[in-house]
Amino acid sequence: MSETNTPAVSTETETETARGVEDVSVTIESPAGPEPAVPAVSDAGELQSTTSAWKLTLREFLKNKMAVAGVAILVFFVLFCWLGPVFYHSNQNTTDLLNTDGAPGAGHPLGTDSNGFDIIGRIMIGGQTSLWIGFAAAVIATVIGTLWGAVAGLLGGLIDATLMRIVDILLSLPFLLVVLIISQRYGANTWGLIIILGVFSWLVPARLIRGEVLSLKVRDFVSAARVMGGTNTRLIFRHLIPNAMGTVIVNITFQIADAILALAALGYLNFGVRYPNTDWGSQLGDAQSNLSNGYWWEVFPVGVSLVLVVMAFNFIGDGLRDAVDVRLRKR
Amino acid sequence: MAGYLIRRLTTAILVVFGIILVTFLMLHIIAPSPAITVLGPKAQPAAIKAWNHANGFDKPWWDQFATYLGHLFQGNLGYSYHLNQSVSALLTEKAPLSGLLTIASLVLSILVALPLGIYQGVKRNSFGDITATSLAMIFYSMPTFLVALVLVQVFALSLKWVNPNVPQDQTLSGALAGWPDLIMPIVALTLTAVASYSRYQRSAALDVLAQDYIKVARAKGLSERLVYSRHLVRNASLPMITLIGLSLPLLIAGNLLVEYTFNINGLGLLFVNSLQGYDYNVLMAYTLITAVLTVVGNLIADICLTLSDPRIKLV
Amino acid sequence: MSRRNLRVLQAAALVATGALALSACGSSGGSNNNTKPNAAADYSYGTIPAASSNVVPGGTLHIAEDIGAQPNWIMPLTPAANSSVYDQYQFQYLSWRSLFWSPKGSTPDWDYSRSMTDGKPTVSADGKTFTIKLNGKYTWSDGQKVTSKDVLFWYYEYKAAVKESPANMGNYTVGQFPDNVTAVSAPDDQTVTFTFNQVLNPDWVLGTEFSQIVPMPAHAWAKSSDNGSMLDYTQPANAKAIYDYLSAASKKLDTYQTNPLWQVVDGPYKISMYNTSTGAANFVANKNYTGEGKPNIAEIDELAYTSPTAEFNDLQSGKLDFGYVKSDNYPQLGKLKTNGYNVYGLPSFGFNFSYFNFKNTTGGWDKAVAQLYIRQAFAHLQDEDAEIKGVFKGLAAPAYGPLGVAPKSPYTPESALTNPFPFSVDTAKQLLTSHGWTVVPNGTTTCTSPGTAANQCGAGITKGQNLDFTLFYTSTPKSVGQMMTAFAANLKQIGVNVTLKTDTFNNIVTNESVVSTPKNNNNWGMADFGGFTESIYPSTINLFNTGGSYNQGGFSDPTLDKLINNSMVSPDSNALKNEITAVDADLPGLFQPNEDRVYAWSPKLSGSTDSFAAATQFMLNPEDWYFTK
Repeated sequence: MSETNTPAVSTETETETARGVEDVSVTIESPAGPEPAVPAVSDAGELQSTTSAWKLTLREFLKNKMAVAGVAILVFFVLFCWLGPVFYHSNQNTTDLLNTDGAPGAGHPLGTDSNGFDIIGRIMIGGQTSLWIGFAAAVIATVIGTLWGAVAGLLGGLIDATLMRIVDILLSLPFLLVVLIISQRYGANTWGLIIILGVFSWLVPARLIRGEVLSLKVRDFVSAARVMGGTNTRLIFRHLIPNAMGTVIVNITFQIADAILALAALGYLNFGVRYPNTDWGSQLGDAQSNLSNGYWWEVFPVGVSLVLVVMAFNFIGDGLRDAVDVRLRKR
Repeated sequence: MAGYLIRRLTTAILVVFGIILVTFLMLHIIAPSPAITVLGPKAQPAAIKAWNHANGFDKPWWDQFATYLGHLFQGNLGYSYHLNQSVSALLTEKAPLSGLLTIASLVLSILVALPLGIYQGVKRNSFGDITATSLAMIFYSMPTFLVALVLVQVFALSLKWVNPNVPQDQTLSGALAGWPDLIMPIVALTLTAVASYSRYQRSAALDVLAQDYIKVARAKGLSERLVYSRHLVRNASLPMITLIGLSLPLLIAGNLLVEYTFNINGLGLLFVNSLQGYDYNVLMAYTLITAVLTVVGNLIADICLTLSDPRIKLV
Repeated sequence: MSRRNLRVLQAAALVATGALALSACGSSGGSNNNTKPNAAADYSYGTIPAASSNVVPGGTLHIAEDIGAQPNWIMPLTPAANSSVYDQYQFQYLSWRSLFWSPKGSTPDWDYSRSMTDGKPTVSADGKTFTIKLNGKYTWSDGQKVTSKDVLFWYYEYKAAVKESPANMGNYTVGQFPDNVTAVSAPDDQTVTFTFNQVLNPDWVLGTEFSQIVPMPAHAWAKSSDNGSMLDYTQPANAKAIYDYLSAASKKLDTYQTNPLWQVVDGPYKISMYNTSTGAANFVANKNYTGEGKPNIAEIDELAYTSPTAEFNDLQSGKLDFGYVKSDNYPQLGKLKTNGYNVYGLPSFGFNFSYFNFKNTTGGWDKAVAQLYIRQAFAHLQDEDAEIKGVFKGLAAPAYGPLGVAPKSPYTPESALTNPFPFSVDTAKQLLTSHGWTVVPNGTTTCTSPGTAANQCGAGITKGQNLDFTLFYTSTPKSVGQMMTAFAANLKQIGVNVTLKTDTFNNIVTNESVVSTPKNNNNWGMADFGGFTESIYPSTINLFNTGGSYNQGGFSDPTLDKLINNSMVSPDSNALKNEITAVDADLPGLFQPNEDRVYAWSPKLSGSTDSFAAATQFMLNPEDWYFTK
C-alpha cells in the first residue's frame, strides 16, 4: 500500500496501545519513533517498531519493584529447573522403595518422596513440566483467543453475536468438568494436558481482544486502511493484532499463572502426568495425608515453589499492564 | 429497558440451551450409556446392549437429547442409579450447605475486599498497601486446597480450636448447630476470593482516582472524605458487581476441593464422584445449575450496573 | 491394597463366604512361619486385648463407614449398582443375618455359632440334592420363628429378581444359582432341600451358592403393597409383584427409618435413622434378638466421610469409637496408641494383582505375553519385599497367587508360601537374553532371534519387536500408583518402556477388560484396578477360566480350565488346591502384597477377640461388643 503522508504520524503513536479510545487525542505529540523496521510498508496502523515506546514501557516496568522481583524469581526457577540437574545429580529414573518418605538428611537434603525419589531433583523435573505446560497452554489459549476475538470484533453483526455466544456457552461450562472429562480420556501426558488447558482457556482472551478490537476499529488508521482497500485478514494481522499486542502479552502472563494453578488442581485430583515425568501438581497430590503424617518436605518445598512461580507471573503481568498503561498516559 | 431485558433474556435462554447441548454431547461421546453402572462391572456386552435398547440408549443422540429436554421441561432431572436417588432429591439435600458456604464466603469477601481495595488505592504504595498486596498475591497464587489443608493443620490439629470436619448432620440446621466448624471452610473460600477481589478493587480505585471528576471535586474544595464517599466508593465498586456475577460458578468449583478437605458431602463432591462413576444425570444437572448461575449472575450484574450508574445505557 | 476400590467390585464377586476346613489341610499349617523372624507369625499388626468382664450396658457406638461406599440399599437382595461388601456386611447384616455365617473371626472358615444351622448341608447319594437343617436359634423381632419358609421366600424372590433383570442381584452369575436349581422344598419348618441339575462339589455349593442365602421374613414382606394381604410367593407372578414392591421401598431412602418393613429383623440391630445426603445411618438394638451374642450397646451410629484423612482426624479426636486406618495414615498409628486406642490389622481374604492383556495385537504384545518366560521375567521385576516395606510401611503380607500367605485358608497350597519369582533384575534379563532378546537397559529391548526353538523369542514374535506397553492403574489408593511406578522403573532397567495411565476404578474395570469392552483390546497391555475378595471356597472360576465373566485379560489355558471346572464339579477335596497351585505358576497377572486392613477402637470398647478380628474381613459384630467402666 501507499506510504508516507499523514496517517503515518498516528501510526507510531498508536501502535501498541492497549487501552481505550480516549487516549487518541493525547497521542498527537507522539514519540518521534525514528527507524520504521519495515520501511516499505509504513501504512497506517501497521506495527512499526516504535522502539522508544517499548523502551518507555521497559523503563516503567523496571520501576515496579514487585515486577522486577517477579522476573528475578522466574529467572531463578527457570535456571533451577533446567540447569539445576546439571549440577545437582539425583536418580530420577529408578524408584527406591526401601527409602520412601525419607526425612531430609545426608544424600537427600530435602528428603525423598513416596517413591524414594530425591525431592530436590523431583522439584526440578516437575518444574520443567509445569512451566512448560503453563507456557505452552497459555500461548495456545492466547493465539486462539486473539484470532477469535479479532474476527468477532472486526466483522461484527451476526458473526460477532454467534462467536461470542459460543464463548458465553463455553465460559459457563464448569472448567473442571470439561478438563476432567477430557483428561480422564486423553490426558495424563504433557501434550494432552497442554492441549486440554490451552483449548479451554482461550475464552477470556477472546473477550478481551474483542473489546480491544471494537475500540480500535473505529479509529482513523483502521478506517484509512479500509478505505485503501485492505482485506479483513490484512487488517487483523497487520493492524489490529499488533495494536492489541500489549493486551495480548499481559494476558499471556496471567494465563501462564492460571494454567499452572489449574494444572496443580488437576494433579491434586490425580490427573497429572506420570512417571517418568512429574509435575508440581502431581507432587502435591497427596498433600493432605503427607501433611498430617508430618512429611512436610513432600509438601512445602514444592508448594512454595508453585506459589512463588505463580506469584512471579502475576507480578510480571501486573507490572506489564501498568507499564503499558502508564506509557499511554504519558503520551 | 424492557426491550433490553427481553433481548438479554432471549440470549440467556439460548446460551443455557447451548450449554445443555454441549454438555450432553460431551458426555454422550465419552460415556454413551449408564448401563455399566446399572448392570455392574461384570455385565456382558449382550446384556449391556439389551439394557441400552430397553432404555432408549441405542437411539441416535438427537433423539435422546429430545427425550432429555422433554423430561427437563417437566422438572425431571433423572435418576442416579448409583446413588439410588432422584437427582432432584440429591440436589435439594446437598445444595443448602454448599450454598450456605458459598454465599457466606461471598458476602464476607465483599465486606473485606471492598474497603481493603479502596484503602489500598487511596494509600497507594503505603506500608499497608504493600503488605495487603503481597498477602493478596500469596493467597491468589496458592491453590485453594493448599490453603484449606494448612488451615486444618494449624487451627484444627495443632491448636485444636475447631474440629477438622464439619458436623455429620449436614442439613442446614444440623450444620448451623455446629457453626464453629463451618468457620474454616468459609475462611478458606474467603481468603482466595478476597485475594482476587481486592486486586481488582485496588486497580479500580486507582482508575477512578485518576479521573477528571475527582480532580474537579477536589478543586471544588470538597473534603477528601466527601470525595471518597460520594465519588470514589460508588464508582470504584462498579467493577466489583461484574466480578461477583462472574465468580458465582467459580465459587462452586472452588467448593469442590474445599468440600473434600472438610468432609462436606456437598455439591462439589457430588460432582467429582459422579464424574468418576460417569453418573450421567447428576453430571448433567450439575452443569445445568452452574450454567444457569453463570448466566443469571451476568444478567443481574448488568442490571445492577445500570441501576447504580446512569451513564451506562442499556440499549 | 486397593481394598477400598475393590469393595465395589467385590461385593459383586463376593458370592461366598465359607469353606470347610478339612482336617487334612491342617498339616500345612504352622511350621513354615520361621522365615520371618520378627513379624507376627500370622502377619497381623497390633493386638486385640482380651474381653473385659466389666460390662456397662447401653451407650452409643460411633463407627465409620468406608469412603465412597455409603450404603444405599436396605433389602437383602442387592442390585449390582448398589452392591458392595460394606452395604451387605456392615449395613444389611446388622438387621438380617445370613444362613451360613463366615468367617470365623479372621479365619476364612464357617462360623456355625453365628449361623442358623449347626453344620454343613447333607448331600444325597446321587450328589445332587442338598438338605439344610435350621437350628431354630433365630426369631424375627415380632416374635415369629425364622423358618424354612423364610429361606424359600428369599430363594423365590431371588429368582424373580434375576428373571426381571440379571442386574437386580450383584452376586448373580448366569448358569449358577438359582439357574442350576431344579427343585426346592421345605419338608418341615426347620428343613430345606435344594436339588441341582448336576453333581457339584459340596464345598463349592456352600461357598458360592448357599453362602448368599439371607432368610427374609415371609410373614411380613410377602405382599405387593403397604396394606396388601400376604401372597403365595411360590407363584412367579406373585414373587415378581413382591419383589417390585420391596425394591421400590428400597429405593425410597428417605423412608428407611419409618417403613415398618425394615423393622422386622432377625439381626441384633435395626435402622433408626438414615441420612439421605451423606449415607450415614443409625441403628438401635433389637430387644427381641435371640441369636448369638447380645446387643448390649443401645445405639450404633455409622458416620460418613469424604476422605480417609477426615475419618482419621475424627478417630484421633475421639469422635469415633471404632474406625479404620488407611495406608495414608499408617505413619500416625503411634498417635492413636498414645490415646490408648487399640489397633489391629490383618489382610482380608482376597488378592490384588495387575493383569496382562492377552488380546492386544498392537506390536505383537499378545504373542509376547503368551510366552510364560516373559511373564516370569516381569514377575521377577516386582519387588514384593520392598513394596511391603516402602509402600505399606510393613503392614502387608506377601502374596504370590490368589491365596496369599495371610490369612491362611485350608486351601492354601504349600507352594504359595514362598516367592517363586524373587526380585532380580538379572534373572529377568537372563530370561530374556536366553530367549533371543537383546536387552538394552534404559533403552529399548528387542527380539533379535525370532523363532520357536528353546533359545528363541517364541511363536509369532517378530524380529525387532519390542516389549513396550501401556499400563492402566487406578488413581486411588496411592499404593497402587507407588507399586506401578516402581514396576515401570524396574522394567526400564531391562529396556521395557511403560506408558503409565491412571483412571478411576470403575473405568478400569470396565474399559480395561476384554470381556466387557473388547473394542479397547489394542489400547492397553496391562492394568491394575486392585483385586478381588474371595469366598471361603476360593476357586478362581470366572476369574481365570477361558471366557470367565471377570477374566479381564482374556487369559486362557486349557489345563487350568479343566482344573477350575474340577473344583466345581469334582467331589475331590484336593481339587481346589491343585487349581490354586496351577494359577500361581501360570501368572495370568502379577500378584501383589496383601495390605492389612487396620482398625482402631476406643479403650472403652470391649468384646470377644473374634469379633474384632472379623472386622479385618469386613464383618461387623457389634452384638459382641460393649462399653466398659
